[in-house]
Amino acid sequence: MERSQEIFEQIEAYIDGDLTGAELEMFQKALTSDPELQREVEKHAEIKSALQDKEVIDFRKKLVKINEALQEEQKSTPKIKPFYTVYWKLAASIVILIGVSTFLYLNTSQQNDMFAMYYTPFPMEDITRGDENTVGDDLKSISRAYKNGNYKEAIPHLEKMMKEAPDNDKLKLYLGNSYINTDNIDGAIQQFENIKKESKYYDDRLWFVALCYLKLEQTQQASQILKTLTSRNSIYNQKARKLLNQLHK
Amino acid sequence: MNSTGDKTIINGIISGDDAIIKAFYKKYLPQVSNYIVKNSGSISDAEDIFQDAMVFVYQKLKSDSLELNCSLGTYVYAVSRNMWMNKLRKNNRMVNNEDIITISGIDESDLIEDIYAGERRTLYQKYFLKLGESCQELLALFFSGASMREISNKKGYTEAYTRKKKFECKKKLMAMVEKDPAFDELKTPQK
Repeated sequence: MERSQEIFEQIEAYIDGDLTGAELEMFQKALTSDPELQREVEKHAEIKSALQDKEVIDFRKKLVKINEALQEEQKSTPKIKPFYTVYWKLAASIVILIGVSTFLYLNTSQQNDMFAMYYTPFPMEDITRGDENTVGDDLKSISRAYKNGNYKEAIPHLEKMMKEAPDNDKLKLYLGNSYINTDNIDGAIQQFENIKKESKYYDDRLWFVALCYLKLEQTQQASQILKTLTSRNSIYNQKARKLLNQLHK
Repeated sequence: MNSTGDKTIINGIISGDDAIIKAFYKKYLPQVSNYIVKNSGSISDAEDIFQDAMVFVYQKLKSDSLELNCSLGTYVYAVSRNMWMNKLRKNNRMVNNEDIITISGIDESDLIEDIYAGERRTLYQKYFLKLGESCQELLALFFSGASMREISNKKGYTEAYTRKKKFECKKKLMAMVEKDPAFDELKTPQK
């Protein structure tokens, strides 16, 4: 039903009991024969009752403000002196670099164990729900291949889809993970790093890039990314923290 | 059990005491966030749910229909948890909790029904606050019972413009709410 000012005003008048005589009769008649209109009237009634509740709305407004204030507080605490922190970070990373490379020199194969311990492929969603950017019948077979670990089979299809939808971040994750499993780690990193900071998959990007570096035995890069990740409150938080601890044991 | 500290907090929430509400928020949001992030949610999901839970509790306190057998914090946590599980179930996502905790004194099945009944109203109220300042003001005046003429005089609009603007604001609100995935699955309250 096309929403118009006229219909809105009629519905409001009906709800408020302001319709009389022939107008009321006509409206009631329309109402009995038109279920869509019935639903629309219900919605208007709900809105009225919800928005008349001023106390509750004011309370919610208060919560939103408190939440904003708390976020501000959190944001303003860590950035005290940017000048020093940059140098401090630089110094720290040099120390880590030296430490880690010595460590690496002493034992190399541990990283791969850790990679295996922490890595699970990014799950491919059921494609029945449909992604606007992805089309075609071969979707089902791609998702089957991916889920069954036939990455070699999935890759050419995913690459083709990537060309058609170069901005689809989920595709980048699928393709990157397929590369990881076919030992093309550099290719994987490249895919992941195309996911921009604003994307809701940015946390996923950080996590998988970190694991890639782990696999490449570039521990200091991995741990730096993991540190960023732990400061971001994501679903990877716990895993990232644990992995970091293990890396620096 | 209901301690004297809780009484102060409850009174503070009912009267809208900023400092008390803020302290409560700061103390209990992290617990809820922790749970939700562990169960495939984000921090902003957690903030959303926590606010819904607080509003739910506020309404209960206001209508004096809350019988607390645990601390208020525990109760808010239980409400948040149930709200989140509800949402996950709707999205067919798995709930990764081995722990079906029943908190003494709360009949959680009643709680779920209560939560469910108010959800659609909650959605309207939530999205109302996401409208622009001028839409919020106009609709608030309208729903407080002010006439079109009174609103027009107050805002310095013509009546025709006020009417049109009210329509547009309401339409926008409806469109936003209908886009929310939770909306479809919520039944309209039975009359």
